[in-house]
Amino acid sequence: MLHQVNTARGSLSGVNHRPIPPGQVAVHPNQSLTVTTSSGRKYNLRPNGTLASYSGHGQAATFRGNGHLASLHTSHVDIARGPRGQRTIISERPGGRLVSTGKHSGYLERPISYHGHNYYQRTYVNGNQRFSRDYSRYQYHGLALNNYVPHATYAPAFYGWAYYPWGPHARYGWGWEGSPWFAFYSGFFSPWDSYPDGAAWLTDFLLGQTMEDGYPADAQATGDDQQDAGDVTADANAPASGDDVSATADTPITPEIKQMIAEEVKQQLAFENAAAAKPDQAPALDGLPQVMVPNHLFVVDQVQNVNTSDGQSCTLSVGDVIKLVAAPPDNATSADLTVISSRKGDCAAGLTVSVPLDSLQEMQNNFRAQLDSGLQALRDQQGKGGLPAAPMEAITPPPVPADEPPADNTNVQAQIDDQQQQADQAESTVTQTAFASTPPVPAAH
Amino acid sequence: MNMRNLLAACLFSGLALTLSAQQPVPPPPMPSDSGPSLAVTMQFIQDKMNDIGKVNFVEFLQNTNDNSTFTSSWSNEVTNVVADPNQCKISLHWKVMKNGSSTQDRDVWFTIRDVQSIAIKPYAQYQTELDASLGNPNLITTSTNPPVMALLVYRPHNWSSLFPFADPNLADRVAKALTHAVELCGGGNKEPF
Repeated sequence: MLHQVNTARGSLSGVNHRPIPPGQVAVHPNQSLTVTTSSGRKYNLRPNGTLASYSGHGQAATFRGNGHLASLHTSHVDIARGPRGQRTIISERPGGRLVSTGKHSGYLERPISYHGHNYYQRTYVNGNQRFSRDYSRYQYHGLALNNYVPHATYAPAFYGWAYYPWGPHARYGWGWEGSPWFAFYSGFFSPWDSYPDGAAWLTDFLLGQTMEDGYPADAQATGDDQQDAGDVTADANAPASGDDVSATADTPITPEIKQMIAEEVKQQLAFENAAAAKPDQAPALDGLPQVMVPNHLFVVDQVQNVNTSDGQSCTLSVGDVIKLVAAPPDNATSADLTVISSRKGDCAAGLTVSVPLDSLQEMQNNFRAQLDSGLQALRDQQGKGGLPAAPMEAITPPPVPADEPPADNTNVQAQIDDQQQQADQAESTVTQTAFASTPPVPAAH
Repeated sequence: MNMRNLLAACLFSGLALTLSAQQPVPPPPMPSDSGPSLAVTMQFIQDKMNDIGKVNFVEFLQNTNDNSTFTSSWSNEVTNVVADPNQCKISLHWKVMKNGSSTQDRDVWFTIRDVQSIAIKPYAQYQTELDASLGNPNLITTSTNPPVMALLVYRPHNWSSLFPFADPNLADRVAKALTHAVELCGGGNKEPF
């Protein structure tokens, strides 16, 4: 059996060209195989012989059908790779949790106590930008989750002005034309040219900002040679995944989807207003539990691999939109969501995928952080550039800044550089470890 | 222990708050002076009225005294519209041609505070009513080609301004904006009922 598999693999390329070492073979009902060697290394092969996953020597990796690495877990780093090579790296360090989404983007998270409150502060870098975001921690479904703390809160009338219709539609130009990120996502996302209310304007703001933030890592990955998790060339002609769950084309964010997101924005404005009035109850009023209702939409903020209901793997990446199927049971740590908009190579629209609750919390945090920035921009720009002027009742009371801890001055970019090197090394050695001491098989003729 | 006390206890003790179900939250309050500001409203009126352009149409009339029919060709154009929020005043240049001859070609203005009401109706209806009010109930405007809507701004002493629109949607939006501007400028019919 294994000999036949390795002979067949000889005609493949990249990591799929490597012979699987001898071991105990288990054949599954769907014709996939699991090979377990005497040293404990385990190889899961798809029915077509391509390597789906490998574990052993403290490493666990998953691969796409074309041999590209999809994920890697080691004792010191977790890596998720997107279909275009985008990479999210997570590692726990003495200084806190370090997450990088690109060579020049990511954040360092550390616990901090300030004025009697416990926070988790993230220091972000994104290109030349550097900024902080603060979070409070709470328990949900047995998980410790971070809930975003807005930089400022506003008068109830300001939330109301953004919530209710403005009257005549406001024609507004974002000036995004000519921006590399906007060109990169063209055909997938396009803003409206007029806005009936603040929620619609905020929708385009947060979608655009999310993609602009995600663009450097996405474009950098697309521009880079795709990694092969080894020293041989991956099969560039093979599909991004050996499974049939990856989108073969973009499913754009349609105006109808944006309208649904705008409704979520309105709902969140109500949550933010309620939380601003009762800051001691904020996580209960503006956090993830508030939005875990059927049909709620989440906008993906960073690359992650997820599983479909039948166990196949695919990737969600920045800008994809997913819809909650149902509120998860009390003891669940993940939820089922349907992909309604995605980019080529990501999980195809229509698929139902299982997403961990902590990932949904991150999406909700990004949504709220962008909404926070959007509200500030809306307040600054009301009455200008085509936006209506807000009533005095809405803008006369100044924003109330959050009592935030001072910003961290750690050199996060240096830590990201170091983490990138570690991740590069881990990726390059995983296949060496997996296939060590195994001679290559001759190509089939 | 109620929810508020539980939250306070968790925060004070440093314990992580445990949450489960969704909390009902009302929508934020609508600002009391909701709607666009006067400056925005007047700018909208100015922009949209300057977008009207020249409205050309043919009016089809019937004289019920002898059942004769005839037509009139109209060209109506407003230009240089300025909607001044500081004075609550709209000024414009009004040019009208009937059957190729100029009937109006002058600068006009009105103050928003004087406006008593605003109406939209088909131009044919407007013209028929106008002729009747002028003592010519036998003149019926049966239609126009293309269909034209008349935006009418009524002021005291039977003064009114007519703005023909080929685009009924644009007429409706300008009418709403004018109505809002009247509210903001303190115009409108002052009678309580």
